[in-house]
Amino acid sequence: MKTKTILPVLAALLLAACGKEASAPPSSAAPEIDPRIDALFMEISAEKLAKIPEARHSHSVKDELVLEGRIMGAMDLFVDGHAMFVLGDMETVTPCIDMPDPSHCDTPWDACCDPKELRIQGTATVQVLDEQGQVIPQGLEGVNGLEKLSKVRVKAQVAAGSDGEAFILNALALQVLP
Amino acid sequence: MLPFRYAIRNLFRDPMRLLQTLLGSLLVTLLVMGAGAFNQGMTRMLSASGDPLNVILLGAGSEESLQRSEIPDKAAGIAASTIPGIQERAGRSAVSPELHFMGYLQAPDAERVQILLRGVKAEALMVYPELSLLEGRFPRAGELMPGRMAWKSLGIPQEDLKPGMLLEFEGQSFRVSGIFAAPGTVMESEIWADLNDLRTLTQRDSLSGVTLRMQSPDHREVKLFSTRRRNLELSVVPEQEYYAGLAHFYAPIRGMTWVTALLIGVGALAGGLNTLYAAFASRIAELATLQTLGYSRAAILLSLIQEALMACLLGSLLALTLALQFLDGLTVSFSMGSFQLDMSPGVVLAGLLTGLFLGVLGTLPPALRCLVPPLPAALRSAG
Amino acid sequence: MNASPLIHCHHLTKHYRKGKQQVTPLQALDLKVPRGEFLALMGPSGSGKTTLLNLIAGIDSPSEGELIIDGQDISQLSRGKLSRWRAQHVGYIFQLYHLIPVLSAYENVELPLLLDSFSGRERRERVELALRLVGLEDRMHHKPKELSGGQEQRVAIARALVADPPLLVADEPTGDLDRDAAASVLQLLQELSREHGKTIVMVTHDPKAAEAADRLLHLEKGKLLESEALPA
Repeated sequence: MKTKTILPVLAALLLAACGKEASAPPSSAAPEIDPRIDALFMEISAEKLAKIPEARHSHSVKDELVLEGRIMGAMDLFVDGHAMFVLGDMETVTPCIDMPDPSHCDTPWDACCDPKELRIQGTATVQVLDEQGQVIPQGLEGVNGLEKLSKVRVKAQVAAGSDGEAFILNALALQVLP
Repeated sequence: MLPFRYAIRNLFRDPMRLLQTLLGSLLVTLLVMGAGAFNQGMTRMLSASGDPLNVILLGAGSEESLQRSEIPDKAAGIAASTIPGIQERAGRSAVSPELHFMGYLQAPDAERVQILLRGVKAEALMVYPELSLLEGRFPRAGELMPGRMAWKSLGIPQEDLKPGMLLEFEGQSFRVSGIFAAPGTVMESEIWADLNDLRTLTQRDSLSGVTLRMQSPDHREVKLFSTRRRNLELSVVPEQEYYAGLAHFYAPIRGMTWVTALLIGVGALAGGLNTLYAAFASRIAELATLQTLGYSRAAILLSLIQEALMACLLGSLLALTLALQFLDGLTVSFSMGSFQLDMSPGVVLAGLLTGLFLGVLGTLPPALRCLVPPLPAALRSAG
Repeated sequence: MNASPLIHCHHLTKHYRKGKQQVTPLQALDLKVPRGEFLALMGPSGSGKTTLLNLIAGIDSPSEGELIIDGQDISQLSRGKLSRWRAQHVGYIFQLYHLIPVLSAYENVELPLLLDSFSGRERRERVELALRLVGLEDRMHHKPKELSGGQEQRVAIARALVADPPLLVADEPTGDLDRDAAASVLQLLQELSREHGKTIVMVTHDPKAAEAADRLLHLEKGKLLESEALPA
């Protein structure tokens, strides 16, 4: 008789505990995404896709363009505490992870096997600015799926300081591709 | 407690043994203070060599050594015009493009030696405010400006290093235009040259690095600059971090000085234990007599420790005198330059504590061994 | 006057290990020593006389039995307590004097007094009295190496007396002395016993030295053989 009453009580307690676990907030909450950064994430049309190696020469400061690439091409791809990342052209830059023997590389995402000229020509720096033209002080790694080696489509404006060698883009829209 | 005069008179009972104990303590204390002064001097020089406001741009992958780094010549100009927050004076930015080169120089009547040359422009004086000209002026083409410790690396007497002297480099004679001081930093062991001169002589069109002096220790804008200017392939290293890395590189050497001191210390301690055991063993009957009279083993042990401590501390004080006289300020050369041994209060305290430690630790095993036997047997011992 | 014996040994036994063997130098010994008696112990080597002396002096502890001295059973005292007990109750006279070579005669005699709370003046008075008693007040600042054997032994006797203990134990006190010096020391011991009421237990090989005592005990193989009252 006693066992019959204990079991349902135990079961109820267990269910209640599971329910509590399901509804309990995560112990370490991810920091909130800056709304100005969050607002950039949207679908971007693939029409008139430009390529980094050509666009750096064909586009001038303030020109708008859409590019596709992977977050790769350097050892440090994101800047801690700042909305900035490095984008590499998939036809020009080869990350170590795609090499036959990546064991000698420092990281899977750098392009140490590519000649320096190819690395420079095939990569661009993407930054997110605030209204005052300053880089937003929040890191982008992990934000809305932005990770090292992620495929990304970017709509951007060529930033001041870009010349044939440095290619800096102010992001207008971002889309992480599957 | 046994009267203090008992400990003092026992000290002089066997002059040879006293001398042995004294010399052993002197040696170990001197080694400990030497190792401490060496470590202090090297650490102080390497830490003083980094300024929190300075940040270095060097080649990606060469963060550990400016000598191995290469960056494009134009990096200095682009950095000066692009990065906000750099200190300025009279319209000029505190940006120092530099070439670091280990070259062979020869002073008159001296051997050819390898020494660090730094090619700089006048902007270097804005970036390194701790630098001051002791004599002469900044180098122009065909001239060199050694730091005031460079005499040690050049292998010449200190008084010979002065403006006007000639130094031979790459088959050419260079006149010393001046001598500079940058107290406690590695720069004092370097020889500075005009940047363009050095680039021509070394056939380099690139730089080793660019040092920027910022308005605040916040270097974020410099980091953003290096990420935007990927074509320059720069790494951003705060100057303090750069020298901390070098200090870490030399940690094994510093560690070795301690290991050496420890090994010799252990040897001296073993010798001391032997000496003290022989000294106490000859007094087993005497120590037993004191126990028979009613003195506790603890009281007798304390008296024996007093004896040993006096001898060891005397040795330590002599070591301290010798160290202050001969070691303090002694110049030591290593690959990066020269530094001076630093007999800081901490080092002095370490030396005196060594004497204390030897006196106590060196006494305990032999003393306990002599106090432990039963009294009847101890009283019968030959002594 | 206290009529109880100063020393009362009951079934006193001592054994110790020598390698794998157990040695018993003293076996179930019973002994009483009246206050003020001068007792001599004699016996061949290994008879247990020195063991008995060491037990009575409190520098060794019995394995079994009782050892009551001046009303206190010292057989149960810890090493530390025995040390303090010795300082107050026993004066020890060694065959080889065992003076501290770096201290003067005065300083040697003063040593037992430093264990107590005497003032400097009190200590000086007692030391000078003790040295006067042994006839060496004019040698008080001499170091042991500056004294003859007999003088050294008398300094040792002064040291044994200075704290006024009720009991003196002497282990072959004349063993290292010439005839005259020996006679002088024995006479002193007799005076201490008869005129100052000290109880003295002396181990000796010398029958002539034993004649100075009030009573002579023979030991053999850890047992008392006979007791002999000696003529005064």
